[in-house]
Amino acid sequence: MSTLLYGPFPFDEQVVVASARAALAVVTGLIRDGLSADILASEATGEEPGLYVTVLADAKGNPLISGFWITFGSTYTDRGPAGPPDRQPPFALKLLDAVTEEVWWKNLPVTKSKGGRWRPALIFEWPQFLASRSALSPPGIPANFSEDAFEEDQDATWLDEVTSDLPLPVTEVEVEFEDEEGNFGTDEWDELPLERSLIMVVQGMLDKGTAIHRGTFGLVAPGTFQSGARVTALSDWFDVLGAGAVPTLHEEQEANDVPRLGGPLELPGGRVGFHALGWLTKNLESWPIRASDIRRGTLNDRVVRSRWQGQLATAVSSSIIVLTLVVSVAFAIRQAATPRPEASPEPPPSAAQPAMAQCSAEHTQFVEEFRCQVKALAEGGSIALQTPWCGDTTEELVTNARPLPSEDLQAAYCGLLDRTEQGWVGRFQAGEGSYEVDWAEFAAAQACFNVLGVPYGYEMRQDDRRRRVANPASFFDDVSLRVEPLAQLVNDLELACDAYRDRMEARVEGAVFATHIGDARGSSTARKSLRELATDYALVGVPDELAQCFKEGMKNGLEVDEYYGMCTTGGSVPDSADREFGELHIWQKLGKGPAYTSVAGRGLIERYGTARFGIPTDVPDDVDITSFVDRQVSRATEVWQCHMGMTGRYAAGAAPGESALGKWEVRLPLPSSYNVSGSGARSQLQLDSALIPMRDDGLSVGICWDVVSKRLTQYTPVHPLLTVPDGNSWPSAEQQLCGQVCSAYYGISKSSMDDQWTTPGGDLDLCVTGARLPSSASARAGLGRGRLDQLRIPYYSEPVSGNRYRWLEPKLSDVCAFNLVAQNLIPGNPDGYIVGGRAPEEWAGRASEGSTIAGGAGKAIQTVESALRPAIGSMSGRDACGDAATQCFTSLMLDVINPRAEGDDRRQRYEFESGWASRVRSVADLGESEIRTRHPWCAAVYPYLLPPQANGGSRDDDLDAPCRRGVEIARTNAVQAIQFIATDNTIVER
Amino acid sequence: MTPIRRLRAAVLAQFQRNADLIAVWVALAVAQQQVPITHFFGREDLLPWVTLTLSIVALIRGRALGPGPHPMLTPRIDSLSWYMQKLSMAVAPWGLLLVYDAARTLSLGMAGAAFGVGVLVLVCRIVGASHGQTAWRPVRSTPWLQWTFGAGLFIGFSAAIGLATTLIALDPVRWVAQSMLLGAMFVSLGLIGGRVQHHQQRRVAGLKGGRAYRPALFPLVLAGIGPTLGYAVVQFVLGDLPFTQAFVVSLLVIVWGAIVWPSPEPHAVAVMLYEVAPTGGRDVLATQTANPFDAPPEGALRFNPLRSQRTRTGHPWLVPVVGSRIEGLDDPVAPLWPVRPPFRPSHTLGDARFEPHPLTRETQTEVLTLHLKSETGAADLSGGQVQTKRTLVLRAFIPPGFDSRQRKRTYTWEQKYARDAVQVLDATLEICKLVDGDIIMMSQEGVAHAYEVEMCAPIYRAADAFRFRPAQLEDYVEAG
Repeated sequence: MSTLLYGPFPFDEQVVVASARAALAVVTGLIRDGLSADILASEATGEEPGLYVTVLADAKGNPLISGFWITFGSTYTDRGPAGPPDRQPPFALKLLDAVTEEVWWKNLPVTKSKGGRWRPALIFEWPQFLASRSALSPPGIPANFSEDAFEEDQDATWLDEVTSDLPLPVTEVEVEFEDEEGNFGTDEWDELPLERSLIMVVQGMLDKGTAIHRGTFGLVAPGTFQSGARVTALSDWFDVLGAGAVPTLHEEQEANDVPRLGGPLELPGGRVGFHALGWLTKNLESWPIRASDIRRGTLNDRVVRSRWQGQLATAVSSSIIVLTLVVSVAFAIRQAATPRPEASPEPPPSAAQPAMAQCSAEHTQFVEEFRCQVKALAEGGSIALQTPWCGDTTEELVTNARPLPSEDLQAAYCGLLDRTEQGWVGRFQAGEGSYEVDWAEFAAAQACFNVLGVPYGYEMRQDDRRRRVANPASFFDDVSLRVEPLAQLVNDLELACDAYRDRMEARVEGAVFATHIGDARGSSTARKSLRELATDYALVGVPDELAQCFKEGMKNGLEVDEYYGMCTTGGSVPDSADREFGELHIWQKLGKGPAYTSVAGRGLIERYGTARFGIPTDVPDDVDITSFVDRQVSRATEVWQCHMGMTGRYAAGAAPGESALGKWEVRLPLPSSYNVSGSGARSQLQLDSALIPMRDDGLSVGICWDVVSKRLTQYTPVHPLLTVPDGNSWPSAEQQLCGQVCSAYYGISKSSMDDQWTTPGGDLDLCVTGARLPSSASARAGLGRGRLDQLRIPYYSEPVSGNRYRWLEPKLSDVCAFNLVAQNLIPGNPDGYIVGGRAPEEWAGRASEGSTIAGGAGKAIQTVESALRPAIGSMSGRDACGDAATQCFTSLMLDVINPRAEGDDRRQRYEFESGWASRVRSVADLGESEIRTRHPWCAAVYPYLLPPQANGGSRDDDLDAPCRRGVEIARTNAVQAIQFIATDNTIVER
Repeated sequence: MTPIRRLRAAVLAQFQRNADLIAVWVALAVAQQQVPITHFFGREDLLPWVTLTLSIVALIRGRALGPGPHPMLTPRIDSLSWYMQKLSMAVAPWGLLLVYDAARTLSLGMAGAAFGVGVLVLVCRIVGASHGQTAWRPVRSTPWLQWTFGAGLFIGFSAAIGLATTLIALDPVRWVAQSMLLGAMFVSLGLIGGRVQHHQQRRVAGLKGGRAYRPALFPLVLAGIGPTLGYAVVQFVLGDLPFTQAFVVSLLVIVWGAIVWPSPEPHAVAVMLYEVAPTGGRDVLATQTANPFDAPPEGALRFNPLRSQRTRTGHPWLVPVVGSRIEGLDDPVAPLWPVRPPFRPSHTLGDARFEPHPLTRETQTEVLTLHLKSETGAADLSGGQVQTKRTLVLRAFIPPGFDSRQRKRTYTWEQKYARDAVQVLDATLEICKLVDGDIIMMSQEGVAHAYEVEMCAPIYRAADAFRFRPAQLEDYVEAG
């Protein structure tokens, strides 16, 4: 097996790849065409310039490509490498690229090893005519720079005969070489032929793996093929090259140790070539300058696996990556989206279903049905729940006709809503249990239920299904079924009703208040003052708008038709509730329907009460709903109990003319109907007598009085004015209270609550009475019940017949004087005001036997009766005359010191005594008949009214001296009292 | 670190190559949120959404799965026909979907709609027949028979799997049927763009070395089996996906679209060299006295890449793109006539090409590599030009992967610059790399020229590259 050269083929230094591929194409074509013998028969020696394919025959005689042999020609000096910056052997890269792109492992028969690698040998020869002129000329050949050599070459034509036996000059040239010891010496190569070339040997390594083809090449170092002989035989160094890897230069240190020129190698055709370390540039200079600059070359990696393998690998890798990614992300999303009961927050309220938006104020059909349901429930439908009405559907799925209500239904809806205030809910039986529904919600839910076409999911599963009934829980409470617009609608209406309910109750309370306290009319300033005082206390801490409603109720009662402006006179100025809810759509729709008409004869509050307490508008004659309504009203607040009582709808209300007893047995009127002009307490004493037992003892004098009492929690009763009457002492507590009233009224004493006492006249009037004294003892014993005063002062003018006398109307000062004396309330007399030191109860007497009420047959009365019976001035005893004079002088004294007297009758303090004396004198100047009529008590001591000096003096031995003495004692006591009252600054500022 | 760097580079390369499909997927994921579940596209079996995705992929990437015409033949280019071919490929999957639905629901209306779509595909294909047409018709035959057989095969297949889902109402059967329908869509879409004539051309021409041509079945098998298996695995692993997760199946279709129709590799890239002139940088002498050594000399000009302005002169430069695949390895079709090697550009800058990415071995068009060999003369130090010719490359911004370490300056007044900011084409430089925006400074005989490098559009068709005049040495050396 020997290496052959097949060629030459054209070699262009500038188109190396194409040159190599063309040569390979020819060789492979011959082999493919079965002309291997032509190749093996080649006798090419490589002397001619060009590209040769080196071929090695295998054991079967088939040619195998082992590399390239390039013999450079004369064009090398023009197209050869310039030198820098090359670091790799020139042309090798492109030659190996060429065999690679020819797909050597498939298309070319090459000398590859068993492992699939191919180590092609690339041999570059610079022939003698180039080598000899180079800087690295072979030894033994002198450099020939004469122009003759070139001229001879250039002048030759193809007609010239080539003679091979031209004598070549032989000279003896010494070449420096390195011996075995490393010493340089010289040698003579006389035996060598003169055709001495310069060769460069490059070995490549082409490795085709399963996917990547890699290739490298390196310069074979000179001396690699030296076998000890002078000239290494061609077969020897070809065998070394074909055997496998040979050492190539790749280490700097190693390269510097290698000589630039190796020993001679035998070449085909008998030539020899010196193995050079490096190559020649086109200027025939040796390159690289330093051997250590030589680098090992590397081919670009080539992807050689088939395209379907690459596509499949990409598909698999991409699929795995994407699937992993997708599965991971999807799994993560699924895990993240899976609800965990322990960590999941409360789900937000579900949004309104789009299909359910028709159950809103914007939907006309729903609004009409809603109004119809409200009206039906308010007017008595609550009692017959299984009766279909409005747009209800029966069990047989027959829809009822729908009457359209036109009236204002705001009050009716609010009445339905407020039924829960008294715990009234609707009940539908379902098996052993029952549904309890709020009436207002039920009306809204039933309307929505009917409009939606009785959806089964919202239906109440009741036993009696004559009427398909909505389940409000589904509409409002169920998370998944909840109809948000409907819930919002009900909520809006509830806010409106709550706001107006406070106003409505304030107005009712105002009307109740006005009915029970005082008088608004100007006829009685005291009663008006009493109402104003009570109103001030009633409105302490009450918001302005509710106070306005309260006052509106006091002023105009319950005459109001609609909610809007119900607390403003005439509704001209809306309050905050009017502004807030006046624009509420469903509130407007509920109030003023498509054909709104006012409800004649039925005010707003009446409609509200009717709806709230379930009073049917049309009650059959055989149906008694009184007990039902009473039960409902009894569970309501006192305000509404009072209202219903006042309107005659509540049995517990007061009957016309009914009254009750208050504190101190004061009789209190119980109004049975509204009368804002006042039909209740007209005096403060009445009011106090009503409030005190409710506060102190928890007693009730009437439902409406309870309402009034709660309004007046800030009010403090002025009675009793001075001290708390002692019920165990004499006289009775009522007379003690009346005595205090007289004392305060006439300015004898002053109450700490005097500035709050608005009705002194009324209270005094309640104390005393001018009623005639009954003749019978039994009648006289019961006289005075219900009035504070049970004192009767007997006096008369003319006898009617026999011993019977005609009773005259007593003056208040007379009664008060008797009362004050009887209770020893006249100040200024430490030793006693009554003449003779007689006890008051003895002086005043008892109304009846064992009674604590003064005003019976006491000494004073006995004295007067006895004195007046025969004739005036018939008394003679000191005490008897003193008793009568005490009453007379005290009564006149009260007339003089009365601070509430008007005009000239009102006197200043310094005028008290003189005024009283003048008053006594004027009475004394009256005629007998007149004094009997006007001052019966004074008539008893008529002759002694003037003091002795003014009456001409007196003597002790006169027959009437005792009487006079008694009168004078009484006068003295009266003067002292007047002086005390006039000088006591603690009493009354005048 | 190399495997990690290689993986990262490979992933980034895939993202760059398939940026169009990724954008489509993102757009579909966004559009999916706007589609109500009551809409046809929101159908619970996701097949309409899958088909929509495949149609869009077909519009962008769809092409014939076969090797195409003989590479030595020049196909006809017709824009309208090209659009119609794309439209036919985009519409064809809808026809199969309607056939599937018609068989599944036994609906005549669906069948009628499928027929209408089929007619539309046929019309589009006929109108678009001229695009890609080549001159050689080696066998006189009519392709209608093949087309009819192919259409019937796919229609029958789709109808069969539709019937199967009706007859066997099991989830696994339905999943497999839907997966197979997707695979059939891919294959049908790839076949519609092909021609029987191309197969005949290759069969008659044969392969290099006299071997007989065998049609490559792998692309069809991959297009059919791959999406089928992928979709089946997704369904068997994840079960029935709701429409809210339709982006998963969109991604599957997008990925398989990228696999079946990889982005084409350019043959060359048109690079423009714009002449630029400096707009500043002249150093001004501070005083009239002698300068110290640490001050710049008067009138010195230091070219700043950021302070330059283009002139109206530009030079086109067609730079070949070298792939890691050996030309002819995948398609060793025998040439129809002897081929002369193309003109070799003799560029003054040397052997320029876009070499494969060193890590991924994928084709890239961002970095231009210049192999400065001695035979090109770019760095020739010998001869009479050694004193007058100088070339260097300035780079304003250092891209990732280049050496950005600071280089020691020569003069004290000079600013520091990165190592790869300046490349001097001298005797020591073997490889020079150019990126977009680099400035090539060439001075010769005392005259300096600066050129700004701009990487332009890739050229995908060899015919376009052949029409490009190779840049010659005098274009740059002799200019000015």
